[in-house]
Amino acid sequence: MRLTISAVLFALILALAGAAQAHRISVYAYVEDGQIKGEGYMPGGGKVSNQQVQVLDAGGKVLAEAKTSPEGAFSLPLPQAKPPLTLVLSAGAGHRATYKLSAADLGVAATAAKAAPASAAPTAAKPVAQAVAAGQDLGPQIKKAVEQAVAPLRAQLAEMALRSNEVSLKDIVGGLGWIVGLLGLAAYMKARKMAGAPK
Amino acid sequence: MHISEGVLSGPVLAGGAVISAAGLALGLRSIDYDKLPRVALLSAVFFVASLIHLPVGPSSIHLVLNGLVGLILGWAAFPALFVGLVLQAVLFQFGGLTVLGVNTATMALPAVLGYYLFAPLLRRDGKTAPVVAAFAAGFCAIFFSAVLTGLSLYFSGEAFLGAAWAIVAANFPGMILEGLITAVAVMFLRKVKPELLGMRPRVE
Repeated sequence: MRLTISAVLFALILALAGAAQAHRISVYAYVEDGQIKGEGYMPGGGKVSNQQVQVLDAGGKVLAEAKTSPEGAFSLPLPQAKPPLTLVLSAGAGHRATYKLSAADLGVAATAAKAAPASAAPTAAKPVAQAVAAGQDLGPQIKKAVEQAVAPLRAQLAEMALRSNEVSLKDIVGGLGWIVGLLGLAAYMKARKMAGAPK
Repeated sequence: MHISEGVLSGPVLAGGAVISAAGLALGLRSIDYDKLPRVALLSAVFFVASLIHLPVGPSSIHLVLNGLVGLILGWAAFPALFVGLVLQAVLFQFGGLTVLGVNTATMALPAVLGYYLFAPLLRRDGKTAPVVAAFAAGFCAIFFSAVLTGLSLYFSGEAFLGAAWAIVAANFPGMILEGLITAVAVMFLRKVKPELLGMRPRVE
């Protein structure tokens, strides 16, 4: 009996440890193929898995929600709402991160999403010249090419976002410097009080 | 146990701010000239401690050490932890500025409680009482911080009571670890710097 209880407790602790160690979580996202894609992570590169992600409009209304995968990734349908949209990642136990998707982030994708249904699938297969001759909409093809070209950049950006999340030695030393400075300031004030007010 | 911004409700934030302001006032009054460096030192200890991640099972936890801070500083734990939290919020985005009051209260109140409950026992002769008291102080500090964090979330409507208790359960490894570290630190201080614990200085 006691063994079962401790086994259950132990399992509970293990299950919760993932969320508990999320000291400061971050979320990064971009728009691709009419979807919001992104990732949630912790300092040091840990992933925020199985947690809730929501998209809110400017008024705070929930437009869509999803859960992060075990790798911390998520994708949401791009809602037809006015930018800016806010992504909120909640990891329980008071941990929460937000990411703003501005009009610029959404702009390209929003027009493309509208254009896509109009110029249907056959266009994509035809050569460019033919499409131009036929006066067809090149939007989807251009968009595809640009997205391919931009993919490595996106990967780099995600990597940078992840790195900027780490605590640097500079910050630590700076913080300690602040504490020493505050000590000096407090000591100075107290010393003046002890010596009597200056004339 | 750093609660992020935008999670707690207004009344909880306000309550935390009021408690912290009162604690800060009491703490600042208790600091005299000789105590100042001690407060700064422990503020620095707390500031850095939360960057130390220790592997526990498949994940990791970070230290808080509010038990140790409380044992040595008493009410001055409030300003010490507050300064550490401000710097963590500004430099590392741990927690946030609007939640400072709540975060200070959840970590400093258990520290002060530990001071009243356990600090007198640290000065006892022999080894058993100080070791046990120091472990208990470290353990209880995290336990009550987790309880207060859970309650803050519960009163904000973020979590059900069950989820609030889950936070306490999740921090259990941290309680054990902080108990051990606090015990080791206290026994070390007893040997090399007993006046930090309010004992007579060592005679050379």
